[in-house]
Amino acid sequence: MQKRNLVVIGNGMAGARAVEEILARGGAEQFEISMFGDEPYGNYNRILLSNVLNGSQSESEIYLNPLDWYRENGITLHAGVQADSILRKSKCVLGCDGTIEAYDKLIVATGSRAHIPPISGLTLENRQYKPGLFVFRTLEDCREIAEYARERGRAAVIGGGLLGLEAARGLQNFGVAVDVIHLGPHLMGQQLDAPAGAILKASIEKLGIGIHLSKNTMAVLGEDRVTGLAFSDGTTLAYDMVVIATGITPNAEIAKRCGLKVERAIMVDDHMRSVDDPDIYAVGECAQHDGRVYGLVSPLWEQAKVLADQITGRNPNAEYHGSKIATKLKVMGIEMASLGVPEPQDERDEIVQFTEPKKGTYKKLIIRDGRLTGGILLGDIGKAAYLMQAFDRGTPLPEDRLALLFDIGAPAKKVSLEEMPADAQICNCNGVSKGAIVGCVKRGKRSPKAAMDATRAGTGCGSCKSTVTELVEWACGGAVEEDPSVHYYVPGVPLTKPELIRACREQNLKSVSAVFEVLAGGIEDAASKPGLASLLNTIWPGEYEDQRDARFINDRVHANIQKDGTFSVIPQIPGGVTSPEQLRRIADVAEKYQVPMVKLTGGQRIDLLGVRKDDLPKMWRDLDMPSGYAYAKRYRTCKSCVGTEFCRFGLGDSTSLAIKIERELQGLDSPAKLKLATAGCPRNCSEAMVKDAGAVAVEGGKWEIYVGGAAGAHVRKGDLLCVVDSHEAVIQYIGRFIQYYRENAKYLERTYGFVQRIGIEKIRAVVVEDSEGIAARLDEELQKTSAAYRDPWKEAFLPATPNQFASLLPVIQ
Amino acid sequence: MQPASSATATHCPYCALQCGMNLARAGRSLAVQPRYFPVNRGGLCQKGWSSTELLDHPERLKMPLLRDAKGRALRPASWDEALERIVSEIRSAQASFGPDAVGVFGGGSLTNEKAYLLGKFARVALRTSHIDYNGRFCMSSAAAAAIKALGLDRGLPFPLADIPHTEAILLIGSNAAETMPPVMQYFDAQRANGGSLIVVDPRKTPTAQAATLHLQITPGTDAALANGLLHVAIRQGYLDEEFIASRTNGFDAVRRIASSYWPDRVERITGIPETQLFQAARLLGTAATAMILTARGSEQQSHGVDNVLGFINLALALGKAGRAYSGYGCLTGQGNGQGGREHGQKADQLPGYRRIDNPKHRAHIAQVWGIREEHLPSAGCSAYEMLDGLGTDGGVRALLVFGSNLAVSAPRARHIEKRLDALDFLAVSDFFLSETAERADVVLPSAQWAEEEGTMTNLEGRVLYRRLALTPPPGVRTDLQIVSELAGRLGCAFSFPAEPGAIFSELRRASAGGAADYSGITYDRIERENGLFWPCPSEDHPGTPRLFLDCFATPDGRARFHAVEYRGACEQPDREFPLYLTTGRVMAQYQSGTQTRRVPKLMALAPRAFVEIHPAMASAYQISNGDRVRLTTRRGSATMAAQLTSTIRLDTLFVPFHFAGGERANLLTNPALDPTSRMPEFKVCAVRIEKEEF
Amino acid sequence: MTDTTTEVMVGPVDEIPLGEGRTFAVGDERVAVFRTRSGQLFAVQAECPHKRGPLADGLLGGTTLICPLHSWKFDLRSGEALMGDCGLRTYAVRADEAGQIIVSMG
Repeated sequence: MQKRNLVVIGNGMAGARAVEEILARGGAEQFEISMFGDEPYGNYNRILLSNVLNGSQSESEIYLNPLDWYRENGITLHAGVQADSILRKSKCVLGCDGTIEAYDKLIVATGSRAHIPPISGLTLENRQYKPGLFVFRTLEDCREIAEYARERGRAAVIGGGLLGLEAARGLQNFGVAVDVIHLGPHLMGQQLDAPAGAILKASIEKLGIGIHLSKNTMAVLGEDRVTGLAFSDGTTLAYDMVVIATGITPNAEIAKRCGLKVERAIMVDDHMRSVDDPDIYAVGECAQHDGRVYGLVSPLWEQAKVLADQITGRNPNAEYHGSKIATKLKVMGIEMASLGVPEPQDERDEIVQFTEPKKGTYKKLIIRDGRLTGGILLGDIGKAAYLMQAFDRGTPLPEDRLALLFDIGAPAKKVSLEEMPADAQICNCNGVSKGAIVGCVKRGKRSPKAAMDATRAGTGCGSCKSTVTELVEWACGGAVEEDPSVHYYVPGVPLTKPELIRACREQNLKSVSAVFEVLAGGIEDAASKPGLASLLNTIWPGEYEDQRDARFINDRVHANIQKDGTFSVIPQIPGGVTSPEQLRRIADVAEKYQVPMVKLTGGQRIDLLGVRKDDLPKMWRDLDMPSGYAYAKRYRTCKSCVGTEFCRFGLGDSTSLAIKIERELQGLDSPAKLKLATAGCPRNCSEAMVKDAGAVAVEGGKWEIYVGGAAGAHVRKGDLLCVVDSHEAVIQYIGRFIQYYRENAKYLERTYGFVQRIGIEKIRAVVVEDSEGIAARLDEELQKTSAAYRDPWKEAFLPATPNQFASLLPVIQ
Repeated sequence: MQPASSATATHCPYCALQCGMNLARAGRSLAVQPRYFPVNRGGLCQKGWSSTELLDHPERLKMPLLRDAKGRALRPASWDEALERIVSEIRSAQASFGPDAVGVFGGGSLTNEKAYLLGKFARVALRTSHIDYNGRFCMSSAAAAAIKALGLDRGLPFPLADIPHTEAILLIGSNAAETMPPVMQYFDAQRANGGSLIVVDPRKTPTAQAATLHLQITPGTDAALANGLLHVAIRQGYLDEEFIASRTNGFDAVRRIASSYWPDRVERITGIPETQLFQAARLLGTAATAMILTARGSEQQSHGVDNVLGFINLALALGKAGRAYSGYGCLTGQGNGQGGREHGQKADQLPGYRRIDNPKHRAHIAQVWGIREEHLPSAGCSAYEMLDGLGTDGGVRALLVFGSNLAVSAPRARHIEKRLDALDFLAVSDFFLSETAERADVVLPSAQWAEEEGTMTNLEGRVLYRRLALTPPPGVRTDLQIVSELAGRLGCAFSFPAEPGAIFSELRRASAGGAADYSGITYDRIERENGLFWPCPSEDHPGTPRLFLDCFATPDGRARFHAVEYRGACEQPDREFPLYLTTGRVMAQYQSGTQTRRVPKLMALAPRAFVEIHPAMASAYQISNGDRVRLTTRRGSATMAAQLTSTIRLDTLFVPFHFAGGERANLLTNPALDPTSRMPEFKVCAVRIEKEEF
Repeated sequence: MTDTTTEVMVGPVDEIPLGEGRTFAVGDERVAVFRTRSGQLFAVQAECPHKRGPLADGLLGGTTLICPLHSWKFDLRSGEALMGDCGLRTYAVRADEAGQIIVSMG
């Protein structure tokens, strides 16, 4: 089919939008489209102009259709060419540069221009506006205003409507003092009633903007540029610049000249067609529908939709029945929303109103038979989102009018567990009721976990877990058992540590696999193995059947695994006392095996880092020093200061004490690592008070023993266990404490946790006062263990398992 | 938890999560035991725990039923009689009206093997173009959008295990906490890791209550929200210009569109306050990683594809796609909603996600099936259109339905019932006498999920293996046996194996080289590797848990932006129908309820339909809790009990869609279709509510 | 099923102590082979997908393996991650009558 010509006069928001809607309806197949646009660039979003003026958005951001958009859509744009006249007989449009475009259908979207009130002295002889006088309408205006406003003193905005106030806001950003001159009795007469206007005025004045109401501007003063304004009341005010924002005048002249009916604007029917020419449509601010001319975007878009439906024949039933006007704006932090008309139109109208001038809050709703027909929100516009929609869509309103103005956030108060009915559903995923949970608690499932396992509550989305926990506690009347498994020594064997020790002793279980076999239904649990190994070794010193796979890798190869899978080698250096010969040997080994890093440790030893597993035994051999055990859940080291040996302040011989302690406890395995220290005086250079166990020399040859200290992720000053007067006593009490800890601490429970859990008094009673009469046994057990000690690095000569130190095995073949 | 040796490790029969479960013999029946599977990690919801109750359910069909003539009652019949009847009806229909007079209607809960065999059956044995499935009412909008923008449709482009590691999630129109509870553990973990979860829903659902931020959107305005968020993101400088430049096309048009969705306009359309709009944009825009997930809420609309495209635009503009721990995804609904749309039970599609209108694709499939390419029918029409044309000139005269209860699940239910009754012949294969089966001329009793093996593909694109846990009761046959038997009786020369393993290996060959390439997947590997993510082109290929990391599946490897405008729902509230109606699921029921409505435990939880209404709005109609109310739309009306809750928008009503008879949500819903996906507008229409007077 | 695989004899079973694992170099691939206390053999990729920890140095209990570096947990039968995000590549492995470990490389 032969394409018809569609000509659009004006490429502002209305014109471009109409074309977009037409294209969206496949109009490109029906029409050759050409457009006339006064402005030399593509069209932009006028709504956001004030954002550009106040700098919150950049010009480029507000363009709707840049020039290439016209090209892409095959639209001929006569940019910067004003349409001069419409020749309806010959059906063409004349551009003032001589362009002629014939049309089958014509859309007039000439928009509007700033309305200029009858004021004298606006222009110079050359009929140009006086420098300093502006209208606020186009991007061009914006640029010029911004340009001129810099380094000006005082500015006036004529017009206290929406646009005027936004202009004022914009100007303030340039540091000029701004007055708003308004003809009407209150601001924003279109949207607000008198009380609202008054409140707005007060709020805006607070922000340093002058407001003059009912003030009629007669003349712009100044010879070659604006110097001030004169008013009908005879007064004058001095200004450096004046911005006129007194509304719009539709550009309807071109339509008038070609004989179309024009009142305030071009008169159109419900199809957006001019009332007297079926081929000419009008849309936007130049169109007058049902006596109304709209200056906002959303009506214009609604019109464009109908127009497009009609002109493309996509929907012949499409009709425009006027728009509901609602606006929201923020003038200098003052938020406001207005819906429809500010005043009731009909005696049936019901008015709901709230005022709080102090806070600048004003709310007013106009309701006709249960639906919103108008309203004002000022200051607090929290309900705007809902009200605007109710207004737009005419949805019936709730009976409770108060709820319309305020979020009476009466949150449904949480029903207490008592009040909750037995059939109340706790776990929605699995349909478990309060009754069901209480019932199973009564049947002995007295822990949240047990109850959840039994009822399956919480196995779905899990959101009810906290409620279930509360409920179980409530049902147990406080006597809730937490999940028993938290008391297990290791997760894989359902026994507490004392139970486990008893079971192992009674049933003579001496290997990890035996324990799994007998006490865990034959199910091995990897995570539980090292804990069991450590415990069994504690219970069966010397007799424990060592299974290497139960050990953590560090304990299998007697070295500490590093992030890259290599290991570190730390030889024993008791008390941190070494010798040139020893150092030389260490140095040689480090060189021979190209150890990437040699470092002094916090435990007063020397660390050779980055060693391949395969090199471990060779290095041990060459070093010919015992293991420093810097890798295991065992006794690690006992650091010390130089004590009385050389130190001026030393009160006791901390160094040799440290060495004795190490001889006593070396290699001792325990629930978690043990780091000790001895200090020769309370200055405590070796930090003995924050160690698992530490001895500090004090006046009179005495030693204070501290236990349960920590200075790692967790910092805790040790508790004073007792004060003794000899090295031997120190070693005895520290040893006894450690054995007690070995037998009673959970796996991986450091002494600081253990001491807090048991309490220092209890510990002191057992260890020092022998309240339980086990002191002798504890000492004896420890003796056995330390007697059974053998340096693991001896395995260098006799590996315990095949390929114990092989990091990679080649494939035979 | 490791499966006890006696138990069969398999999967839940219901939603697209396909939670792992163990079935252990408990006397004569089966008991569900938890199973630690990477998807659900031991958790299950009530539907899963009670799933075995259907296996020995008294209402279970155990022999074929047959209606001698319209108006007569269904009577028991032998398999031979039933199958012969079907064959002769097919023959006569095709004799007088041509091949397209016979239609096949499948379902998103059928295994991949079934979906594949049905597609082949329709094209090769029946030579009809009329085959489609109920997934059209479910996934198709997201699928269409993902293909347009990313070049590939797989529910999630990443494993669920990635969710806890992303900083921000935008979840649109999903009530996961009730529809797939075990998935919530991932969202909980994500928030526990300090991440933020934004939920978009007209109702403050349990999912929304768990969220960092809830955007209580006006039904049908999703596209405006997407564009609005993008507008703010642009204004606030959250864009990832580098990503846009290097990995996408077409952003300029989208930037232009977004510029006209300034915040107060979007607030007015969506009802979401500007402040929340900015907050949401900030959470997404300032996060290093983010995921945007849609579900039926935004997809089941007449502009569902646009909605999804809008959100994909957002993900792309923020550079939150094609990167680890980021991306757009869709929370698939039906058990095999994913696999069901990959292997040819869709009118326009062939196995391996191939297109039936693509000559190369046709050639490959024809070769696998051993037929001449020109004998492959062309694309048929989509589900609703097929149903709409039932019994009309040029429409389907004889319809075979597998695993779908469309009398309840299709929109505009009354109309669909009329269409079904207008058929010359209707055969239904199901394990219960569903509302659809009741209208059939032949009903075939089919096996249930635990009684046959096969593969499913879950919402992650993870292909799973469902084991046979017990043999079907006597008198019952599997859909595969039925189809293969029918093919044989129709004298079809080509092979229609009934054995899943055989079909799967054929499916593997058919899918080879396609988008959804299964050729490297074997039952063994699935079991060994806890499922495999497609594409998996060879047996030494590890599968593809994460898509698009290097490039998108488009010809040029770049993701495509699509400029979408907000067009609004087809039906807006007016004086006559002043409120919005939206529909959805409840925890204890599933889809049309054919299964779940027969589980006492579940019925106890959710026995009847109800309508959620805001107390303030209820008061305007003098409605109090529990009152019987009548809902009326331009399609029809339904009555149910009112349930007052302040968790719903003032202007919106909610009705669950699982229920039958006069409580069917789909008596009310709008069949307006999405122009691209042909998805009906289940989620928005205008409604009137009145108190029932007695 | 796996017709494309090649079988590799990596060494005698007793090279691996009960309940432990060892790493083998098969061509340029590294495979960790484990021997449970019950005598079953399993083979998986040698390095943890998390931070490349040497899995053969891990703790083995039943068929569960714990990585020595950050305690990610795996089920050796499937390679499934029991704690952690992604699983392990597994290889079929058996011992022949001569007690030689044979790994099928996919």
